[in-house]
Amino acid sequence: MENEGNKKSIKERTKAKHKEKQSKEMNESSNKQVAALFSHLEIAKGANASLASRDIHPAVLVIGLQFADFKICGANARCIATLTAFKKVIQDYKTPEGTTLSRHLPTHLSPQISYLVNSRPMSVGMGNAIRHLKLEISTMDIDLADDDAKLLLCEKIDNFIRDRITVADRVIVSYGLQKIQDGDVILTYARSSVVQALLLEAHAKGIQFKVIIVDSRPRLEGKGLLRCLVDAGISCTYAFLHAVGFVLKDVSKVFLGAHAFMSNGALYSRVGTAMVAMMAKEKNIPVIVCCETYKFAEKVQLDSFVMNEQGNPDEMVNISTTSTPKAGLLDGWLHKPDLKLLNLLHDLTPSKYITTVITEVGMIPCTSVPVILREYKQV
Amino acid sequence: MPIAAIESLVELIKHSKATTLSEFMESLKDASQKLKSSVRNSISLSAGADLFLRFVTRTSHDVTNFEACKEHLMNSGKVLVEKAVAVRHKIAELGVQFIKDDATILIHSYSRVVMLLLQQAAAHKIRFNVYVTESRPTSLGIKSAKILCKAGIPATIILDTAVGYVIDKVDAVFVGAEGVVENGGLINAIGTYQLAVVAKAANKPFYAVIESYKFVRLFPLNQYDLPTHTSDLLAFPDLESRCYQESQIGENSEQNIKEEDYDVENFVARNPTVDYTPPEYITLLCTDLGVLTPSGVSDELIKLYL
Amino acid sequence: MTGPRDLNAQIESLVNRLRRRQVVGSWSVSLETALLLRQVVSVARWNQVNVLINLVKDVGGKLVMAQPRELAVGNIVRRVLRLIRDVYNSEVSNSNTNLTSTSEEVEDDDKDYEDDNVIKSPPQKSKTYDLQSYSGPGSIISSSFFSSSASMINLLGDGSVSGKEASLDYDRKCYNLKPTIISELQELINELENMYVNIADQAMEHIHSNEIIMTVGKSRTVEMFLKTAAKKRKFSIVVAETSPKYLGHEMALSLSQAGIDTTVISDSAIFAVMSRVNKVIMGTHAVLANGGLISVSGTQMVATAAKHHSTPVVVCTGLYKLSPLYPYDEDSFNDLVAPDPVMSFDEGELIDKVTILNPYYDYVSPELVSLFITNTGGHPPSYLYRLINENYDPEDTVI
Repeated sequence: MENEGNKKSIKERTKAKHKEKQSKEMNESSNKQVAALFSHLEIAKGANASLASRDIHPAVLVIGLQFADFKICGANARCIATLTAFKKVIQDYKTPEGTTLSRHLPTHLSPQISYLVNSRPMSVGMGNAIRHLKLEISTMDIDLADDDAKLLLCEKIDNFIRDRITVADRVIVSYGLQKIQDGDVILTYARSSVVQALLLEAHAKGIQFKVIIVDSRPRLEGKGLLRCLVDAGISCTYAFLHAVGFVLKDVSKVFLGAHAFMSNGALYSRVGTAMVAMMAKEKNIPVIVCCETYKFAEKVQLDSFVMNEQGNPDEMVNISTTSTPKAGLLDGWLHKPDLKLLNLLHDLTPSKYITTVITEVGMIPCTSVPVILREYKQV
Repeated sequence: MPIAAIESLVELIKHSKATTLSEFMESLKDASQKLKSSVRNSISLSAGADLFLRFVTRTSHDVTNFEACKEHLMNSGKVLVEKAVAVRHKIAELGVQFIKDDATILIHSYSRVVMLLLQQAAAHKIRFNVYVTESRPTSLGIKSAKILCKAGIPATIILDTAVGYVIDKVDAVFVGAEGVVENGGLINAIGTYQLAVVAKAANKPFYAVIESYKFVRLFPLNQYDLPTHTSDLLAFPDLESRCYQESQIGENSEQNIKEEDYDVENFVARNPTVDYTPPEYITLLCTDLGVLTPSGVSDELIKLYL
Repeated sequence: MTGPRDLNAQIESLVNRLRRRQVVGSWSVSLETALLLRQVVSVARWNQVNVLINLVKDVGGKLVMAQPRELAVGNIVRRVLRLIRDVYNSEVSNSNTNLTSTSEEVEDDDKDYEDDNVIKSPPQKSKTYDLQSYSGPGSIISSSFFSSSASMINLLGDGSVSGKEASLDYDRKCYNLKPTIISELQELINELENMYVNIADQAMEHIHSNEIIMTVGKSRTVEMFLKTAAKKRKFSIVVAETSPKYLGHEMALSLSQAGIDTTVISDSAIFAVMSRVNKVIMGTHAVLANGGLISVSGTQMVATAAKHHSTPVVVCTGLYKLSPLYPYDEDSFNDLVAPDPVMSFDEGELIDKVTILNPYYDYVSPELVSLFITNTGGHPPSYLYRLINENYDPEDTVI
């Protein structure tokens, strides 16, 4: 039985390899037109369910597809979705004979993780969460029965989500409320779940303020935030990034979200954040970043090049702002050998442009990020 | 101050008994030297005196008849004094466009041109508020505030030390000047340089409003390169020798030391009264020759003295 | 020879086209204005220079009112006025006596224009050009008397030293200046026509090989500049797309067709990419008297990001874009255009509840610009006041 299973998997694997080769060729031809500066960052090949070996849990398959299509977008959302999917994986897991849960489970999870990475590179927060999970697994008591162990693990995952994300967000919002006063004009960029929660809470508390949302192509994530705030009754202004100099004249504070925070105090966030922070600093407007501590990374990064993510360059061709795509002048750019499109997803904001970071442990200057990391490691 | 210098020189011409041109020039030069040395801060005075002397030199080249020359000079001098007031009005008209509705302006000490500019702006029905620095030790800022309030412009006096506190609320800074130097920098009441640095750090525009007859042929390299800087300015007290002397006197010496060392009243004399603001802190200069960038000042000076 | 009736029609036609923005681009506007003013000088009836000056001011005023945002119109009018005064001044200082003999010629010419629709220039008394108010800096054609060269001296009296009146009254009959003025105007038009070539010729001095150059939006000047350099040097270009007009897309297409390695980035990636860019080269809509720029929205971001990375910013512009106006307010020259490209009516009810902003221009302050490359060579922003003094007269600042 096992032999047959093995044969089947060999066949599947060769099929998968063949398909992979095809997609690689396609990628190579388009990679030639990838900007040379960013050639070290491969464009995500996208989720391909048929390529997945049958070890991949269906829950993971689903979120892989959702990530690749940007249906789930945003560091917090992706992290919670991943952890929830892994909970299901653990619940359905059965330790095979001859090995223990604490040793085999990580190897069982590895292909799931790499599948997710293939659909879309992992965020720093997700990496931290998974590392935390693996640590919990490895320190599991060997004598525990499987079912108890699984239950304990699921509980630990729930605790992580609750403590480091959900409750953390609430604490951040309460700190942030201290910095929003009547008459403020607040500028925010793209869409951050924490900033959204903060603004809605401030409005619910009756503080009178106005919001300016700056958005940029090609993702246009700010529109979602706009809809949300308008539905809550907040008076909003909307503009594209090119107008940021014009719009900053009346702004009193800038609130930004984060994808990750590096150890040297630099903010890694949606592309365009660095621009907004820099322009605000030029006009002496305070820049406040809301970030949970699970997003703090051990790495240091100096510019937006060494680690970044490229999106699909074809997204730049469409120039309509609604859901119906309208191809612009760049249609057919693949046929023009000297023309390349670059669709970056993240950028790095140097620490000198950020006034303060609001985390669940309080308001800290961005140079104190490694201190927090050290404290958490000791715990 | 410079107008007064020119007026006095014109008076001198009237009463001059010189018969040759060179004698005449000598007497004028002597007189201007005397004027310069009599005042502690002679910058604006030298600007006016030098300008008049330059005009005399040029006129004397073009007019051969000595008497006609004298006649002409006296007339010109009179015309200049009349025009001095008109010049200020011209500057005020130019500068009014820099004040927007609902603006907050910060000014320093007391300057007639700046006062005229603000009054003109109010006459144009622009609404604005003014912060005035107290500008010790002369405390002329209080005079400015009084004049502004009388003209119906809301003005508040701020401490010289509170400039940094207030700068984020301000839209523009306006200062007058005693003199404008070759590279476009300003010489003005002490505190102007500080104000300019703070304005630059806060990204606020810094406008200088000044008449063209205050352009001086000086090129200071830094604060201590000014003609008004003397070695006893900001000097440290020589405590050693005093202590030694006092210790010879006896036990009463302790009380004596305490009273004399403090010397509070005289510290004002040891502090400078004017400072130099380098051109990189100045956004634009509003003069009767038009709105100039600091680099344009050098051009004007070259044209005059070439 | 077109009569004055046609001239009126031509003026009206240009005014209408300006108002309807049918003439697009500062270069075409400048060229049309210069051509029209040449017509005015050659066709209109004038025999005194101040009459001509007032005529040009009149026509110029109409054109400026038609499209106040197009600063190039005013600039060309000021150039022409300065040109006329310079020709007159050189004529006066060269041959004081010759002018009186032309009075007989003038009478003959007057008879040609019997047409009723002669452009009635407003009756003017001969203006004694008051030296005291002519406080402008010295002209290039140096006058022999000192009073116009040193402005501060003007304060000290009316300057007439000797009994001879050498003042600048423009009431001499000098119809013979017409061919000179027209030939000077033709030179101006030639300068405009050769604008792009003159600027592009300087390209080799500024671009070396393997450079990464960033540019913003679409500028014909910069396009020619880069294409000329690409003939001999190999470099790459990064173009910011400047949504929502997407001018960057057009520019990128055109550059890549010329064989230049081009990458298009969205506006949000400008800061990210700036650390690898060697220089920023861009065009502009207008240059103001203090060295500040009025250019397409998004330029202020690029220039500020370049300053933070200490990357030089080079602006390629023709002299006709240089305006003697000062930016009293950052937005005094700005326009808000239709927000449809930002958020269209397809969004439904959202439009009613939200303010949408779409500014067309940006103001870039002079500290952010390193160099101006014009058809007369490269200049730093601090030199612009000199170019303004050489090409415009201060009394023309308000037309």
